[in-house]
Amino acid sequence: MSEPNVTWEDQDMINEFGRLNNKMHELTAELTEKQTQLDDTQEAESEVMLADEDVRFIIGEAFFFLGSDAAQEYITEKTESLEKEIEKLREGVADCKKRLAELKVKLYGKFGNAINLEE
Amino acid sequence: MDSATQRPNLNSFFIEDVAQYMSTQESTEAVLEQLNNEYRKFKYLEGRLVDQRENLKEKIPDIERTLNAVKHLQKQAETQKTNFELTNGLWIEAEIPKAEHVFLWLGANVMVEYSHEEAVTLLSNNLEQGIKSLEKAEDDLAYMKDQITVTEVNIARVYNWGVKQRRTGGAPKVEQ
Repeated sequence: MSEPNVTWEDQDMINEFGRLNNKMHELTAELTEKQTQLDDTQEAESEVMLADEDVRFIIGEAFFFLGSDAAQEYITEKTESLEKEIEKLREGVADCKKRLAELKVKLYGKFGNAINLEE
Repeated sequence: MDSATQRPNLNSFFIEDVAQYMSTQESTEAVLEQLNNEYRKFKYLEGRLVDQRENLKEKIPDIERTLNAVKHLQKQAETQKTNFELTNGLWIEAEIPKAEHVFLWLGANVMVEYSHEEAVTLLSNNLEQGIKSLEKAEDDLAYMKDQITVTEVNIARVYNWGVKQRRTGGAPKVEQ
């Protein structure tokens, strides 16, 4: 059985696959984390809207007693920044997946069973 | 490679032509041993970089939290009521009158007084440094991963070559 020889270009693609695969897993984990944070923040937002007295808001490592308006402002800020980060992470994951699919086609095309490219 | 970033020069060599390379070597076992050694070395270095990265990933949110707190104090117009952690699990209520300065822990049991603006500047710089260091650590980690992948592929190809040699009765004796 003769296996196709591995050229430097092949090695380069294999390296890229390895790196992107790792990156995709990391981004996905971060995405899940941020999504949870966003869910919590949105839940907090509804509580704050119902609250009529001071809200205890964590800033830094201490709780500050804030009026409903100030708390609302901070929460909106936090929600927006999280949504932006989540959008960026989603795009990153999509880009990785696309390139990974391309690399798979090329490498499986050349090596077939001789290579294993599972995520 | 990059001379701008000081990467330890451990370019694992990629074997272009296995057969040709092996003809210059003593034995398959010797080559495999050398490759495995390299592999272990790279894995060790990778581990260290991962630790470094995890450290930074913890420090950065910490700096962000402090920065947020200072910015909030900057905005403060009147006395604020807060709950803060006096000690582990013990929270206590306090009133913070409007102040002109904050104190920042700089590490090594040193605490320094700053105006709000100075504190924001210092913390923002630290944050930037931290993020840059994290990026560098990620880069180094990717580089290390490449070295590891190349070594893994080398090992697989040399091993396969060795198996093929034995099957076609290369060097070892052939049974009559």
